[in-house]
Amino acid sequence: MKEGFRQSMAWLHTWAGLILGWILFAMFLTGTASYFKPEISHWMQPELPASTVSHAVAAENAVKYLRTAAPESARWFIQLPGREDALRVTWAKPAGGFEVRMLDPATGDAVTARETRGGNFFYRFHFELNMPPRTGRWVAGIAAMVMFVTIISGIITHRHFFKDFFTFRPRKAAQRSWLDGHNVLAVLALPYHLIITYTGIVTLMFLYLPWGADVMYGGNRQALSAEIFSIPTTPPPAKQPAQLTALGPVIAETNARWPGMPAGLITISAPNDVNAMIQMTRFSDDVVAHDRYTLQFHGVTGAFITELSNDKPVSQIRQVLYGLHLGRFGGYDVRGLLFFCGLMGTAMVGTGLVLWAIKRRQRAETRAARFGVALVERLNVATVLGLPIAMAGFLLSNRLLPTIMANRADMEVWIGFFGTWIVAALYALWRRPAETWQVLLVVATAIWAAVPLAGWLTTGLHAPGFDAALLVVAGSFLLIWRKVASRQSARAATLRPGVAE
Amino acid sequence: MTSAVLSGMRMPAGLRRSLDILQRAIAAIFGGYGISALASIGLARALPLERSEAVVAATLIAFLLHACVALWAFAARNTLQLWAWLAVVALPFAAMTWL
Repeated sequence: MKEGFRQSMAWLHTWAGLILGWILFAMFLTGTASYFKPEISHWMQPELPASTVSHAVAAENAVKYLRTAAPESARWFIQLPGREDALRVTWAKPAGGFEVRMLDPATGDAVTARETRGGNFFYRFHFELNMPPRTGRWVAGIAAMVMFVTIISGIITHRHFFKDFFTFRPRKAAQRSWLDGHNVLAVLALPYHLIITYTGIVTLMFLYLPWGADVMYGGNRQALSAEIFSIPTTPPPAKQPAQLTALGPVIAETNARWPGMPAGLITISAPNDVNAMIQMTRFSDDVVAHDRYTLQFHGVTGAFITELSNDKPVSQIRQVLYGLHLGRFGGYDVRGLLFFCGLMGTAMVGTGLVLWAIKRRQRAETRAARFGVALVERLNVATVLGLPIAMAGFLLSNRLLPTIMANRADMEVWIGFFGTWIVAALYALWRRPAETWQVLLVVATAIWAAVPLAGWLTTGLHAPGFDAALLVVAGSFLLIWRKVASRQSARAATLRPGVAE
Repeated sequence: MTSAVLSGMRMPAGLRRSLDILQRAIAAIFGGYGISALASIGLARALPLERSEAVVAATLIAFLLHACVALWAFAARNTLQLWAWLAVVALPFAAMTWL
């Protein structure tokens, strides 16, 4: 461009950020919520009993259930109670496809819980945006690449990187303080923003750039996965019935080989056959790398066969990048910190969008320019407040819809989430932003406070910590509303001198 | 379509600027993707690593290249220079891919 280097980067930052800003805001916010995916799922299925028994007992109960429910199946999967309390069994149906049941770990009886997508809805929305998976993932990937470029051009634009780090002028003119806020949010968590964006692309890298893999493997993607992940091979059933070994000793040996890092997933291939194999796969929450660490045992004798792990440096780097993005490692402290960084990223995108409009509101002279600014301002409200209201609507519908109804999980999505969002967005597009910011902040406060209340009234005190977190969210919206309301009344007073005096 | 040709014609400033931005956007999006696709193949062949390792390394690097090309597309002084540089950058990856 004709202008200097920094000016052209500022231009790129401004426009690239605007074009995909709303999608990026939604990806950031639902992704941030997904750090607590297990907790959200747990809250949304209060019928599932908490696990009080050991893994060995739970696993034996699962096998007992599968023996009667799926004797002909070629493969059983047992997900042991971990972060999600439930004992989940899945089996491959002989006719194709899979069947899933939730069990009570203590008894092995199937539990009927309300149908819901749980925390998985936010998780999938984060990178599929409720579109067909392939389309959604491409849109998310393009948005992530634009985010990456926007962050780097933002750094270049930023002249006094460290000086501005300590600059926040909340009482200066609106544009200055929004700009300072945007800068502080960006700079303070800059390593997080850069890493989360790049690693997000890495999670789906062979969807976006399959070319290297396709050329080197002649289009055989499975061969690549097999070389990277050392995928275990299991023999086909020999059609000779045999008794499956007890899982207790297998779990004990797994614990001995991996002290303090219990296996979370048990895969049994060809159960009830002489060729039965048992794979013990670790929970992915004990190491940063998102890798399938697996021990393989013989299904009839229970003898240890082999350990499968990824020991190649470059693909380990990829798995660490993948694991960093998922953020499932560590306890509440680490995930809490990542959650907080995610909120800063969300707010960075949100303040950037607001800033775009504020900078142009004064200067818009033509009719088209004024329309553009007004449209952006209203879309900002529809997204920045519409989405969190919709997320609360999703949780609220989980408690308010009848526990048994047709397509219940879809209804939570279409009525609870999108229904709420559409109403909020239409209102935000219809009325002036000065009004809608305030009104929707009050609505957000009320609906986030209503979620735990509806929970207490319908299912009792089920997850007190989660309910408390919901109230903190509601309280935050209240604080923001008070801030916005007092600033707007102050501005109104300066605009009409004499009235306030 | 280069800016040298465009500046020879008499064009309104607004239209010229739009065409300039359009060219840069095309270079950033499609030029960037083309170079990263080429790099993901070329580097996978050229890197002295095991096959799966080379493929993963090449693909990880290719995304960073796309970002660099996108930034460069908007920083280049004029679009003629931009396209020339893109060709120069693509050359070694093309060589690694086909030689």
